[in-house]
Amino acid sequence: MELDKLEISLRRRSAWEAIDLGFALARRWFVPLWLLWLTSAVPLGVLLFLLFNEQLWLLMILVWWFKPLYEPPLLFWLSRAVFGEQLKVKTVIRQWWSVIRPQLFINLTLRRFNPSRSFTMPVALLEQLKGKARRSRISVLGKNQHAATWLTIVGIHLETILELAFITTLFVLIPEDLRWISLDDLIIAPGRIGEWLQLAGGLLCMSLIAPFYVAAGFALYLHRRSELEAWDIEISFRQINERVRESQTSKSKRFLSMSVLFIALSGLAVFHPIAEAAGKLSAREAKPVIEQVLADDDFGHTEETQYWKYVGSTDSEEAEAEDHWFIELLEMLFKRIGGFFEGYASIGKILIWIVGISLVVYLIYRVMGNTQWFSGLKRSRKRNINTPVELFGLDLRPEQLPDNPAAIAQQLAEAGEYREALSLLYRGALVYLVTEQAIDIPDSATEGECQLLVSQYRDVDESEYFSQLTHSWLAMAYGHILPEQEQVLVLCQQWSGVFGHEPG
Amino acid sequence: MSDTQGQNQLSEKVLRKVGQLEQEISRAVIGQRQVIRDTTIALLAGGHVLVEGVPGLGKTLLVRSLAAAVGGVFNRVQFTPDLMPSDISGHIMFDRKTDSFRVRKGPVFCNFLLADEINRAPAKTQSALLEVMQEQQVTIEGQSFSLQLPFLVLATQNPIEQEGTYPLPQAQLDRFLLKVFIDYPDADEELQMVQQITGDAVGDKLDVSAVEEVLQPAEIISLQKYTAQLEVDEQIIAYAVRIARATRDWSGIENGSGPRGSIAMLRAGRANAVLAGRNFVTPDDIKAVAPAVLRHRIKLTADLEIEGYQPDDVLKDILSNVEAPRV
Repeated sequence: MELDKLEISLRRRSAWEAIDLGFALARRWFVPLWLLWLTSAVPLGVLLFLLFNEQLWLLMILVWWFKPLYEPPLLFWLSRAVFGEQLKVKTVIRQWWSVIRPQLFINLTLRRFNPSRSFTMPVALLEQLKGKARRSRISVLGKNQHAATWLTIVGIHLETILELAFITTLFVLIPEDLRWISLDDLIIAPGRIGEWLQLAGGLLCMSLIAPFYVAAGFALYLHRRSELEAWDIEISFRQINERVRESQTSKSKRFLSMSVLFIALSGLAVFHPIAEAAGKLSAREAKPVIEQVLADDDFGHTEETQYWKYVGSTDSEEAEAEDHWFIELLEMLFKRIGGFFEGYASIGKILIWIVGISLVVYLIYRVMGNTQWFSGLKRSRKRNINTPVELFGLDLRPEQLPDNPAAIAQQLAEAGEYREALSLLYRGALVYLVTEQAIDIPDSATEGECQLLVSQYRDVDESEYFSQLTHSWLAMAYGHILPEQEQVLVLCQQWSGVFGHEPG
Repeated sequence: MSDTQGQNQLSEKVLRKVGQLEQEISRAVIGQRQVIRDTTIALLAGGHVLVEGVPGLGKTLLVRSLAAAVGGVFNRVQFTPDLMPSDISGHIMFDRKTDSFRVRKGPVFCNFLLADEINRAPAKTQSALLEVMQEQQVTIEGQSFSLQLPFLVLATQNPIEQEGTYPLPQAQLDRFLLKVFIDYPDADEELQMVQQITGDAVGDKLDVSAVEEVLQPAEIISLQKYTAQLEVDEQIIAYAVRIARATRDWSGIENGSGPRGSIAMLRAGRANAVLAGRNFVTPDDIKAVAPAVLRHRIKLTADLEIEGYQPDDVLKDILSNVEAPRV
């Protein structure tokens, strides 16, 4: 760590001043930080949209849940930038996976609701500490540090206020004639368009707040480390050392440098011997020197004071002895329970793996099911969503049709059962159009509207044939006009040619 | 010859003329195809039409053309606040020469009456006309006079300048078979119209000389009878009833259509089928006429009216939700 390259000025600050420093950093480098947030959030948002485009509320929750995934690149960039190395956004994107990977799963699960996330993130990400080492490090860093929690609370409120303001502003800008919903409903029961607005507003507000949140958390972390490790003093020493070295090598400024050296030796007598001694004395030799230095009045003095302190009643030891059996019993009980569950832990592990694999398979299935979003909203040939099972009282389930409707219809027509024959042909045609061609025919569609849909979406041959069939069917069904046998037979013969094969 | 064959023959004979009727009217009235179609439907169904549109869109020309194409008598009454019922129906006057009372028949004695801006006259005068429309006869001083059939009233309303008007009550609106909106023609149609009207014309007198007489009033009456006898499947009747009943329970409608709405849908649906060249009614006929039949028979709730919704918006919703017939 090259402290002398620090872009920020270190001094003793309160935690709130450190947060202010973080905000100043975020304002200075807002554009790269914002872009970095978007580069993580937008692709994930698109992926989640493919999975859950029907459940926007779930999509919103997931986008919000994955916040810890978008923040590490910002922290990574900031950690380099404060030491004078401003990386290009592209460079960070290339390392994206290695940046976000450390402890990602646990960040997204157990630590998701950690209120001091911004403050503890650098420990995992920059110091690469795990497990016990991480815990002890955080306990040292986080001692008496509550500002990060308040930062999160304020951030949540600010984000909510911003989102509400965004939606309200948009609502106010909609001309009154075009408003389809009240403001209350837009926020509480938004409907499809409202949900989209909330999603857009949520994303926008999250992206605006995130750079400030991460930078403020990082500034808190820097402030705490500089406090614990006296970075500011070290930097002062280095600067003095640098100046002394320069003054020694500069002949033209010999007199001046001598003065500085004199001042340094006399005025900073406390520090200079230590700085000089650091290179020459061993730790054992340094100890008496340190004690000698610390004995100086400048470092304070020892004072004896007396005060009263309650140390408990004398019979407490007896009571403790009486309660001892209870503690032993509890210890034994917990040990037994622990041993009991230890055996099941391996089973639990297997179950977690099964759940994980199932989840991945389900997600892949959802992605496969929504790939039509990639094909420019082209109608999927095999899409069976909203396939009606009945239209005009006709059973449209493919399994309810014979294998070869045209042949059966021909037999019926030859037997003089024209209505049944035409019904079968018409039903077969609809089944083909609804199930094979995914033409969306609503319940309220009349025969004429079906014909219009066919002419819009199908080729001329199908359209012409369907028109003839509809005409014959309408005359039979509503006009009670018996068709010519020849006419029905022709329709039967043409059916297979037009619709190709048996439906289903 | 069976009844069905007879109907088919009549259909072939008269349908050609009905098709020509629309063409003839189109010679004088450029564009406005839907208005011409609806007026023809009302003529075949023996109903009356309420037309809503701003002035100067050819309402008078439409009725005059219709009269010219059918060879009927055309009259026009401009409704004003001081118009009296007798100004429409007629009155009895004393003739000094013959020393007796004689009946002076009003403008209502015609085949095609244009009641211009019907909502400008007070309720009493409106009622007089609406009674004539319903009864198809006029009573003057206790004497009843039947009107010459066919009789079609085309009443107009102006959607703007509502000050000092007397809006028609819901019960009286119900007597109109159809309510039609007449809108501005599109650019090409307007261009054609201006060229046609200004070519070789003095002043702005309406010219219907291009319209040829294609049907006689007697043929219209037989056409109306033919239309009324057109076969309608029970499923179609049930469909019309379903639509009318849906307007009564639909959210956003304060008062739905009464049974007269279902009846009107069937009458208009039959006429639509005749114009389409069919001798049976399909669900498409009912669906096609439903907006024009129902839009003046429903009253939207105050909420929807304030938000600027029109009856057609709600009817569109209803028609896309009511199930089509199940055969």
